[in-house]
Amino acid sequence: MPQNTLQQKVAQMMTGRSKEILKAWSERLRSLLQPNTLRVIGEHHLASQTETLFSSLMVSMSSGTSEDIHEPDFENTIEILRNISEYNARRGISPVETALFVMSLKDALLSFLQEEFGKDPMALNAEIIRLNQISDRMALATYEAFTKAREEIISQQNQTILELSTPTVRLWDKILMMPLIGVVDTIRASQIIETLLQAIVDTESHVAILDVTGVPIIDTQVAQHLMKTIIAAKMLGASVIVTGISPDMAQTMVKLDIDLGAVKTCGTLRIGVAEAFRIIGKKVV
Amino acid sequence: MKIPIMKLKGILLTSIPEELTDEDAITFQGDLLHQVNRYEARGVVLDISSLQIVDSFMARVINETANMVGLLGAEIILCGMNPSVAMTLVEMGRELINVKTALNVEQGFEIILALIQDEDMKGVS
Amino acid sequence: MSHVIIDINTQKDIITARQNARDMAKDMGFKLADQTRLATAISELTRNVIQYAVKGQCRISDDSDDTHKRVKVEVEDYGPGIPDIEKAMTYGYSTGRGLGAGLPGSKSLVHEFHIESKPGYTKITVSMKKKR
Repeated sequence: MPQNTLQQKVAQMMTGRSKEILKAWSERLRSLLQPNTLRVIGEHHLASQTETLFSSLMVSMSSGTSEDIHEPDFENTIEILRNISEYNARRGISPVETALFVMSLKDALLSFLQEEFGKDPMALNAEIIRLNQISDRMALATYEAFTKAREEIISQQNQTILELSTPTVRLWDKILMMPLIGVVDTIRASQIIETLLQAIVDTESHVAILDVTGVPIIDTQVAQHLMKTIIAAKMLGASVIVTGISPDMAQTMVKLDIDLGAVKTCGTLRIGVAEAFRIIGKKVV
Repeated sequence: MKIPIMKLKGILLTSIPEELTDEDAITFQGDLLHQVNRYEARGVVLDISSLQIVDSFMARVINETANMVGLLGAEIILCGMNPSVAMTLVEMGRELINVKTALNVEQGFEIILALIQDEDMKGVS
Repeated sequence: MSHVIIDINTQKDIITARQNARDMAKDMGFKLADQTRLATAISELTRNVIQYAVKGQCRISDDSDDTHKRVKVEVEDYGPGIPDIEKAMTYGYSTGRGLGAGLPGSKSLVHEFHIESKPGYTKITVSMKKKR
């Protein structure tokens, strides 16, 4: 229930002059956006975005009581803003430009308000304050949704990078090689085991060569991760050979008391491959 | 639940079903050992590919079963462990120790056969 | 289905509980490896209930929020309780068969792990989570 007849008047104005306001807003928005952005979003989609947002805002403002944008009345508007924001974020459009949606709408509404209520400075003032508050909160919601969408994208990209950085190579029938590259932390370790085990199953390999030439540091933690990987592979029936331990690494590992135990290690990949063939020869193929 | 155990060329072949109560698992262990003894089996091929969830109890049963079969003088090989199960066991610290493994029953069978032939050639009965 | 409650009285209930946990995780979109981890942890915890407390309850729920999908499992019993939680959580105990054994193992499988235990009441809460 509107508590404020002024509000009702504003709502009526918005409804009554909606076409004009929408047009003014669209024009203002287009003048502010980068040409590239317009191209990326597309004319048709931009029109749809502005119309949907405007309709929702009209409903919100005519049914609402206040500046409190957290009220259910505004939920729909916020939701639409979030969708616009996410849509833009996924297309690489900057958050500033997305915020322009809200700001340009405010500008347009402002000029119409001035027209309608120019003769009543007190009322106009009250409405301007209210409009500013609403617009600020909308802009914040936009920014928040944008950040969230970007974070999701980054997270997905990280996942892809993780997967790409643990490639397996089918060296020969029944021989798999996995070159480990880069730092092996807990998250990657998990990814490595998963990838390796799945590859062993997919290729029905008897031997997996883990090449650690590309791993900069092998400390106790990394060694533990390696051991887990090796044990897991063995439980699937594959033998594991570790290759690529450098003289420096060997020194460090012994000093740290790291014992790879019964794990077969070979100095170079070449020797490792030869060993792999030997193992295959022994096993019935 | 009665788990079927098949006999092929002196080798016992059996498969652990997906969901086994603790009781069933122990019963199975006893049955298997009994059969190994009864048929003087040279080898056991144990297919665990149906097991989607292996907790510490099941892991212990499997480990023990392997040791017990070994004590009866037969070779045993575990086949088809699920990659997720392998990862979980390793993360829990409950990995299988000193048990032969193979990717699947086919490979497992060939390995056991080869082992038995080796033994025969060396004159170990 | 946003939550499931399973009474833990018999060995079959261990199976029911872990399968339900796995199914819930699966429905919520967790990958197979995580489904298996959770189910295995639940198997451990419910087995402890049967062994030491005779009976208890397992509650599996969808505890997701705006940023994360989360499947939460609470295992409760009115048994003797774990006398020394700290000790039980050290790895020295993990391969034993005593009260609380298997706890460190379970903890390493899940993302969140919380124990509350006193004589007469134990509640272990675990959960798996992932970003939406």
